[in-house]
Amino acid sequence: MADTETQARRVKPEEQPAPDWRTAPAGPDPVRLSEPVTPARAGRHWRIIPVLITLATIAIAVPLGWAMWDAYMGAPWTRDGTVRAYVVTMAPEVAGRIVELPIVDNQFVRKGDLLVTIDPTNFRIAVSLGEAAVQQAEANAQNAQREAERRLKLTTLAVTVEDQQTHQPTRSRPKPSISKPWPTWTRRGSTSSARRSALR
Amino acid sequence: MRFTEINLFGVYVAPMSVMMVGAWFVTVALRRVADWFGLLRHVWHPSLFVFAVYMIVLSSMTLGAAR
Repeated sequence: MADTETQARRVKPEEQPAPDWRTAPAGPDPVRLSEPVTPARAGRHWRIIPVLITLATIAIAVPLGWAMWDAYMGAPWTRDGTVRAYVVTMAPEVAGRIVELPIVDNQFVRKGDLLVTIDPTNFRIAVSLGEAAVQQAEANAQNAQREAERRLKLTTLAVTVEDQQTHQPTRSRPKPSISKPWPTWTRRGSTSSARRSALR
Repeated sequence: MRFTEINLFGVYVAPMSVMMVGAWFVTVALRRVADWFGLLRHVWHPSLFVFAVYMIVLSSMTLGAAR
């Protein structure tokens, strides 16, 4: 047997046709030829089901993967929107000289941090002017009230009825012109202090 | 529900990466169970089969999150 095999191997590299090589080992050893055929044929019947199982799983996986791609890549969501800012231009609400700049270039700042301080002198002056106007208006009102009370106490011998009525504080009398543009300044109270704190 | 980025210790990552990791864990568990019963021996090309199962798990998670 070994002799025929070595002969067949030695023959094979030479230009021998295939049928000649196949018939040579078939003659002495027919069992060896039939042996690998039988489990292969039996296995082919047995192996068709595993192949079908795998193919069925793939057949389920492919459309699911396709649907997943559509759902994930096709649907728009916030990942597709970006906000970028390399340089942010800022402007204060009020104009003025900058007297303090507590930040440096490329510094990380949080919401509410102080960036610049604008010279508050002009705004303090405006607050003082407003408060002075309020005091002036109050003094005027007090004065008018005194005048009216004084004229009411006098008899008609000292003052005319017309003069009494002129100084009478009535609602119909037109308000002072100062109350038109700055209505809060004419009334002393919380509104004035609120305005002061807003300006500060 | 739509997809939203997942905050992973301050780093926003795509939800798909988290779902991929989750699906991988599920697939590992399924493979352990299949190995316990020796099911993978009765399947042609076990790694291809496991990959298909992974795709099914991942797609189910993604479609469930997209709905």
